[in-house]
Amino acid sequence: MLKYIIGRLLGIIPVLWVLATITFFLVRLAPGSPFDSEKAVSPEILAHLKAKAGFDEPLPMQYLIYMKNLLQGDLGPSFRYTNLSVNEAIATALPVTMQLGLCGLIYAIILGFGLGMFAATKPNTLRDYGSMGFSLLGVCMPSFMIGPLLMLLFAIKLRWFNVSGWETWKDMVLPSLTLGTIFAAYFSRLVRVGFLDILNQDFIKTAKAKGLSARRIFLLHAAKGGVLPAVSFLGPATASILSGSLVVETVFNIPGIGRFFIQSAFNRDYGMIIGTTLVYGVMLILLNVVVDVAYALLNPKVRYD
Amino acid sequence: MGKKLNALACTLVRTFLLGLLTAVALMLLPLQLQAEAVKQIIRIGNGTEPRELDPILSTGVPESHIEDNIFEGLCSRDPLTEKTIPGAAESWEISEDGLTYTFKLRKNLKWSDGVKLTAHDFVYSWRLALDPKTASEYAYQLYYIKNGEAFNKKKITDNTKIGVVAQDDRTLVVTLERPTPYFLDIVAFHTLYPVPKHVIAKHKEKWTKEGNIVGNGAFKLVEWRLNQHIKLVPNEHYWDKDKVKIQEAYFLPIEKAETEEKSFAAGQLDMTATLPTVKIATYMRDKQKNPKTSPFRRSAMFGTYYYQFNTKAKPLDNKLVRQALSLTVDRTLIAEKVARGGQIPAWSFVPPIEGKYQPKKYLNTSVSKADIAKAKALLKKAGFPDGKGMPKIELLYNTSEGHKKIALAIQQMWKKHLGVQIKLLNQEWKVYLNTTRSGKFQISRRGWIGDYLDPNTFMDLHVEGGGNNEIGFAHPEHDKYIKLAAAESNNKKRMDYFHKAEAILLDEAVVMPIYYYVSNRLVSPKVKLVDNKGKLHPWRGNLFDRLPLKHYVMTK
Amino acid sequence: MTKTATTAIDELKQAEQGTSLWTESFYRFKKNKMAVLSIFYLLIQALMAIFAPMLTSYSYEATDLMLGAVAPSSEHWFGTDELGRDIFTRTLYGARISLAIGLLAVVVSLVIGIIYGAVSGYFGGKVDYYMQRFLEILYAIPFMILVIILLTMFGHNIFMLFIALGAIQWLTMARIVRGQVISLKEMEFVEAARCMGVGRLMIIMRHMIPNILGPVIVYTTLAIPALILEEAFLSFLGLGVQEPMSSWGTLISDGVEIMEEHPWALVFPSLTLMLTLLALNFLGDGLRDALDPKVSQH
Repeated sequence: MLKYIIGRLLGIIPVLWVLATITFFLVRLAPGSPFDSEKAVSPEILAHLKAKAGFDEPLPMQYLIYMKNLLQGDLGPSFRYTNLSVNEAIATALPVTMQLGLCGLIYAIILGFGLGMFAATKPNTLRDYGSMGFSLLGVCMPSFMIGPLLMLLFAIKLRWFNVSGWETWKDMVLPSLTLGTIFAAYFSRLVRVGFLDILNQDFIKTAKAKGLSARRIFLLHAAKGGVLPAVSFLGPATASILSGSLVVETVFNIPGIGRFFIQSAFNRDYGMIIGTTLVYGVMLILLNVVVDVAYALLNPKVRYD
Repeated sequence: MGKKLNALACTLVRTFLLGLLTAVALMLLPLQLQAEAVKQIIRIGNGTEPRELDPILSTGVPESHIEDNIFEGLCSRDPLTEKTIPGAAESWEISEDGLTYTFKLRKNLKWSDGVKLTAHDFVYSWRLALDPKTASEYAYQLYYIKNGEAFNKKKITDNTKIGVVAQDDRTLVVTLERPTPYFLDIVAFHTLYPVPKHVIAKHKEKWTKEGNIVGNGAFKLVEWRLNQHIKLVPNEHYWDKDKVKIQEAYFLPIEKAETEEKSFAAGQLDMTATLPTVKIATYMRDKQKNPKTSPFRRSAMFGTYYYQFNTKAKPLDNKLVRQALSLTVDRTLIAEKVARGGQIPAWSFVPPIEGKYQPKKYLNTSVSKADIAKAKALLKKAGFPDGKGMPKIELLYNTSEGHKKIALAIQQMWKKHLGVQIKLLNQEWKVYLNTTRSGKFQISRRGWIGDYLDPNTFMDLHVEGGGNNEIGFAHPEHDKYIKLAAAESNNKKRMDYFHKAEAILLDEAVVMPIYYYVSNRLVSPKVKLVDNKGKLHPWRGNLFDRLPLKHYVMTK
Repeated sequence: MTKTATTAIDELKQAEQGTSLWTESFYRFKKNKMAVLSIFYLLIQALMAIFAPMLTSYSYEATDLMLGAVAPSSEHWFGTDELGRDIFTRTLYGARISLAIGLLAVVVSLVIGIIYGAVSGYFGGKVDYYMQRFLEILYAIPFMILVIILLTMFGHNIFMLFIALGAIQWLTMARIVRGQVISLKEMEFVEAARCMGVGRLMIIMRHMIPNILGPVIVYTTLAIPALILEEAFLSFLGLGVQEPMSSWGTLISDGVEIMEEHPWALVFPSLTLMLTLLALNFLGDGLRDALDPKVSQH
């Protein structure tokens, strides 16, 4: 197991190298540069601006310099935020995105599992249809629609929560709900199916016949098996939470890494684009590893060695 | 078994609902504890996150909103009268020929860290701004000063030859290249603000970071949270600190206008930077009903929204085609039905300046039958009767909902009135800049906001070889009038030259003005402006969209 | 889950007969009313999209500035947008884009995903090992991020959108197919067939493909709504289809901005989107119940 984890983590390095190289050349191929501005800039000043940013070197040389700095963990300067390095900018934005993702996920898990189990206890009743109807609705609404609707109701009409920012807990409620809803919906459906599946299996029936208490059966057997499909969904879910946060951060004006990413792509902030892409890559790999490990721990049939 | 499981599921759902309720209850508590007294705290929506706050380097509006409060030039602007008023200088003298300005600085000027500020700081700052190594994009704002341009373009290397000298700690003598009647406006612009030599020496490029930055304005920066807010508090070393009422000012970078409006509606902001077009009608109706409490504010701006025709591209190299196209654009319809932000349909390139420059009515703001007939005749004369045989025309604009709507409307007008079919092309901002800069377009959208209150800021755009002349316009007579105006110190004569040059520009129809900009924003009725005598006025905007918080106060 | 020899032989017989398996599935599917209803809804939706020009007298691009935004009426069933364009027409034409993106992207992912997954799963061993490592590398690349870079920087056209969305989707498809192939390979009835001397190609054709098809069809029906939402998400970021074309994504993201003033601009396109996604979900559930005998046990 440990060997497997280490192997997976070591696998990050070539992936990141490929990713950094692709992005490095991709952004430089794109039309427009960080130095284009609305009002005319004289050629002399432009030359100085480029020299300041190290753009007077030939491209392969720039690539080597970038890779050398990257090896030392330095993502270089930002052209958009002139007195910040990409490292500093990411260091302030990443925790925000992680908080947002975590809040969204926790909400999704609590509501999703609650609804799913709620529905599974009495399948094919009004309660089942009600819960599943709600979750289907969640799957079908784009988050950029849920967000403004929540804002209108809870922030503007009721004034309970805030519309923008990420400083007080009042700021955090609506974005987390917006981000988590679709995952809550998915979870609830998976959990429902998982539980129904397990509850109908022979060993549960045997356990019941043996006179084990319902709670014991539930916690020991059903829960573990019933949660399994939902856990396997956690991987793709966390990955799409990353891209989902792009939208939520834009709608709610949250200073996370997603907004940085979009801004930097529009501003041709080369260093920031590569930096944020790499951070996304690392997060994705780590999340996949975590999910795979969790899956293995829950499901003894899966083995990694 | 089923029952137990059922109970557990119920518990989970109940826990969730309980959690929600607790959250609501918790949030209601602090509401009751809020103090009654008016807090002098203002929260301002400020568009995008500032790039940097070095007044010499910055180019954007969000940056200038903050810089105008943490720095102060020799002069500044009165938000109520729109006049240039003394800033760091208490008085000045202008020589007969209009070439020498002698500024007298105020007594005991200090930086926000308590260090003394003298005329030498201005000399240092202006030399720095002009230094080619600084690579300031706005260095041209100092080209009025003698040898400023030469030094910036490396024609001379001795920075002591630049026409700015500190006679003593409180006297600054500035020599100009030519008489520049609007020089006091220029002095109030952020590129000419003083920057602290002692701080820059210590922190180098990082001097504008939180904790490092030192200014000489009415406020100082105490917090800079990336993409969250910038917090200003009064500067206790400011010469006029007794006038400052606001105790805390927050500038919040909110990029989406929709989010900003919602933040205002939810009470998170006291002032927005913009207002989404669709919301304007709603707020206008509210204003008619409750004029006292409405937050809607509209003010004129010194700017024009226009299309430019590339004179090097077929068929727009033909003056007749350009004239025909310009004639058949219904500017009133666009302003009222498409832009719908209260913009003023343009009849000239330079917006009118009250009491200074009243442009002639070069353009009809709505299209009459006679206009259409005339345009058709022009097109026929150009060899394209009813648009037949016309080479394909592409209209370029940068990706944005507003630009798109106007382009769609104009596309339809030309199709309807002239039978001319054009294609629309949109590009992302940076790509669009690159394309227009290299002149690879036929028609492109453009907007220009004046840097100072003088026709020159518009009229010198289309001088042959100028950096902003993207359409390859070359007209010796037009250029001659611009040069004559630059050398002229008599104001009336100067304006006459501009009238003549503008007449040429619009007769050639290389630019097609559409409307004059206005700014729409939401401002809480609690925000008031204080005049010199301490009287309160409702908040109102100004031509250059400045927000001098020194003159602001929060009321009930 | 141990299966007795008799059931294995039963399954083998069933698979040999092939058709009976499908007939049974079809029968099961027919019983699911929601799923059948969904099929009809989707068919109508698709037909309306295909024959859009015949269903409306308005153009999807012509503006009517003097009209502006008006509420739904007998003239404009869904009302008009701010430029006076008929929203019913734009929703119809938007269906073309949104459905096409869903379908085409899924086809891309089907082709690549099935081939990749089947090869990897069937051959196993070293081939499988390296193909899986490669897949892992691809999994670690934030494709959505690269797509955004590509679309923002190189301008966006609809062709690029198709490719980009399809390229994201095939990874999961490949994983599902591989897992299915591996588990099938070890099934008793396949081994039994092998023992009986049935050829490799025959095994793949008669036994593997029909059995893989179930999960693949189910996954596909569930992937289409995800793709439609993905397109909507790109539209929200301003990277979707370009004006004057519309997709449901662009209509909704435009509608959200004017929902307080002109609610119809949001309500109708989003209802259409939601109904379609609902139908696809019901269809997916119905197909899973019908095709996946394991779940349908209860």
